Amino acid sequence: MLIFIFHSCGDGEKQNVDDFDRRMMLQNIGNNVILKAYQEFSLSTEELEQSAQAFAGDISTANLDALREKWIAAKRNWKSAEMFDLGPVEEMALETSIDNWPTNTNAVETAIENATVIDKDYISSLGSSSKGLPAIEYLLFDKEIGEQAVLEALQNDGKRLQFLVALTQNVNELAGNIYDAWNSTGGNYVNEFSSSTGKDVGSSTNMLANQLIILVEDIKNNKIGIPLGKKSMGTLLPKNAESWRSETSLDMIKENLNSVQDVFTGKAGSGFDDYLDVVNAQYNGTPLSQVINTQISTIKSSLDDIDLSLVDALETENDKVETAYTELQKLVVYLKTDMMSSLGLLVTYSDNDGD
Amino acid sequence: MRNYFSKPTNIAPLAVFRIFFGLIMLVSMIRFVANGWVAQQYVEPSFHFTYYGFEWIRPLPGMGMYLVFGLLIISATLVMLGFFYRTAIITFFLLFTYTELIDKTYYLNHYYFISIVAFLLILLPANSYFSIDAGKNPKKYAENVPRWCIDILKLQLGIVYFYAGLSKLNPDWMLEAMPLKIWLPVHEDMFLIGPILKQTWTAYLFSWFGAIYDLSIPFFLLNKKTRPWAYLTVIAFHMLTWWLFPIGMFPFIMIGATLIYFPATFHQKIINLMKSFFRSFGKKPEKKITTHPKATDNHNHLVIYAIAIHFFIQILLPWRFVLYPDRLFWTEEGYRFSWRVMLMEKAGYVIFHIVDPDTGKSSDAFASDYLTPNQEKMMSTQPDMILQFAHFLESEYKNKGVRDPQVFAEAYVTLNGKGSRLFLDPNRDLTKEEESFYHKSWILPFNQNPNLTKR
Repeated sequence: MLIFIFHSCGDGEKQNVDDFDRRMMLQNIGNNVILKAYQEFSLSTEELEQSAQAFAGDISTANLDALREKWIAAKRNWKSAEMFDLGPVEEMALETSIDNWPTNTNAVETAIENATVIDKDYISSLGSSSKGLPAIEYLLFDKEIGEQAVLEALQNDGKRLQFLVALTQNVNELAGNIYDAWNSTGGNYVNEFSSSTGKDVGSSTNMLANQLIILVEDIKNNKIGIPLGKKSMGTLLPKNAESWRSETSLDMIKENLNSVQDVFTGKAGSGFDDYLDVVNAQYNGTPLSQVINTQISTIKSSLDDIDLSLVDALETENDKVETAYTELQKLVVYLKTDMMSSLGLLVTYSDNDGD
Repeated sequence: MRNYFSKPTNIAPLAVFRIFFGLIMLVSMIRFVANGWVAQQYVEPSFHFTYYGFEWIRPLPGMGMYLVFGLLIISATLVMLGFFYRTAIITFFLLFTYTELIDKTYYLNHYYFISIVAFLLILLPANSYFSIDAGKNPKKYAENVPRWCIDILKLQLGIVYFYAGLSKLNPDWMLEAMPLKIWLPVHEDMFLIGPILKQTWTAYLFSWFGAIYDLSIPFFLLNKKTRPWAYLTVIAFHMLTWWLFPIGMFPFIMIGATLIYFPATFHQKIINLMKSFFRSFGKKPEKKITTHPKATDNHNHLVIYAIAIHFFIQILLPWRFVLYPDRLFWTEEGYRFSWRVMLMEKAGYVIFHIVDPDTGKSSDAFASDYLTPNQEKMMSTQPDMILQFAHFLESEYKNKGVRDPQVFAEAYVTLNGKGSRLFLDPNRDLTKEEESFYHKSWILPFNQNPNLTKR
């Protein structure tokens, strides 16, 4: 047995002292990334609601175009905030109310048909698959029947129009609630978030790292993998892509990735990359932080290489989508194994005994 | 030898051992149910990682598993009281071992230890003293037992510690203080000791102390002079680990069990203390009957053979890893049932590729679609579990209409802070591989070309 001890010497002296100031990282990400994302989302849903009111007052192609733009802006802003299913957002299960896709079109139609009074309370009472941003998208966009048909459907059906407006009111209300819950002048969850400086299962650092991984896996598995036929023996499923009706799937994924990058780098401030550097995490002789940063950039450029919308690219630029999928997989490996292991964080969401 | 096996000794340590074991098991089982783990571990998962040779063991449907845990709670209570003892301890052993055999995701060395102790307790007359059985039936009462009845518990505990210590004598643990170097700083904001825990030297100190402690503590506990200090060390060591790591009831099991090393006079004091405590509640004192010490009879010969075989296996089993090539921590061939406790920081990620050879088309399977996060985490670093899941996927895709699906596992694993790398041969069709005690040739060597990637 002693032979074992003297048998091999590792990679020389490594200093793995964890002198990292997690409070500083959490304060930075909490204020400059998360709170900011919710603020921008809240502002954009306000504009979305106003735009929906304007459209309802004057139904025209120009106003529909404007409303569509506002929807895209709001959805993109939500993609920057999607990762943060923490604290009040998680407790109130707000994420599904805002963005549960694919939307159940039958449920939406039934909800319109059966409605007597259409207001935001009515929307609140509905299930998550018939409201939120995806339901709005369904009423505003249809890649197949075209803009004119969408416009006429809203013009000819007062309830449909009312429903659309109420959906935007509902989302705007939820967005405001989240921002208030996080904001220091409101529920001040940002403070609670940055004060939970431990590394145990329930700590902010551990939860945030897990959310980061969940989002990247979600992009890989559900947002790209499933449309690409990864779960259907190669049969392409374009209508399983996120926001295929508005043909903005790739934009949404890119926004998601921007938020992945922001959380990882902490933008100008302290982030997970700094943390990895402090514990001197290496990957085959290169700093792990650098490997992960490079990989995020690689994914972004692989997405930029795709010229068409995701729905069309699945057919004609299949290899490019495949490349993006493969690059995403590499990032999942780096995050889920190397990063978590180096930081002593747990890839888990529940408490369990170990030994 | 014959002399040794008939040599009587005072039964008090065995009675106290029984009471503590029953009590800690009672608390453990209640805690298990209260934490919602019955549903989480046995009811919710649709797939279970069975043990090789025990594939027929399935969880009970519906409320069945709650019934099992109800019976475990009752039998632990009866063991503690020494009431219907034999039935209770046999029930406890069988049901506990059953729950452990359902899914290796939840394998823990201390669960294995509990099964072993319960098994040994079936063979011992632990209800012959300070028990309801003995109080009701004077025939069952005894003040002495053959010495081996107590010694085998000391031996079993000694094996656990000593082998746990041996397994720490590896370069990662001793020379790099891994994985403690990763795990200790997690608690840097802990009261008082936090700032110390994040120091590198602390990880080394803990690693070396842990190894020396495990290797030497059985001997210090055996020695009369060192015993009190050794026991204080036992308490300090296990409370520290309980504080630092999520290891559940294990520290308390060990703190309770190691009392067995103390002499009978010590245990008699505990019993007297308990007696006076119960008397203050108005319970009648036990009837005092003196009987002859129970010596070995014919029945006990069989028991002794069973125990001899048990320890033969106990001593050899942890060495089986030497029969396999490459690093034990990497392949995990011969890892379980060997008292290897908290030795590695390992994390992995597996993508399963399913190919239909008839059409050449392929799919990926995402483990999270079928497994709980805990199951996926445990599977991702253990080849036998990956193989089981690959076979499960084979049957899933057969059900989906693929005649002869091939399943390839693209797995990446990081071990003790060394960069993630391919774990298995990604070009090996796992549906053609069968579980066995042979080395799995499709595990890639740990020291591979780090640039090796798929295909």
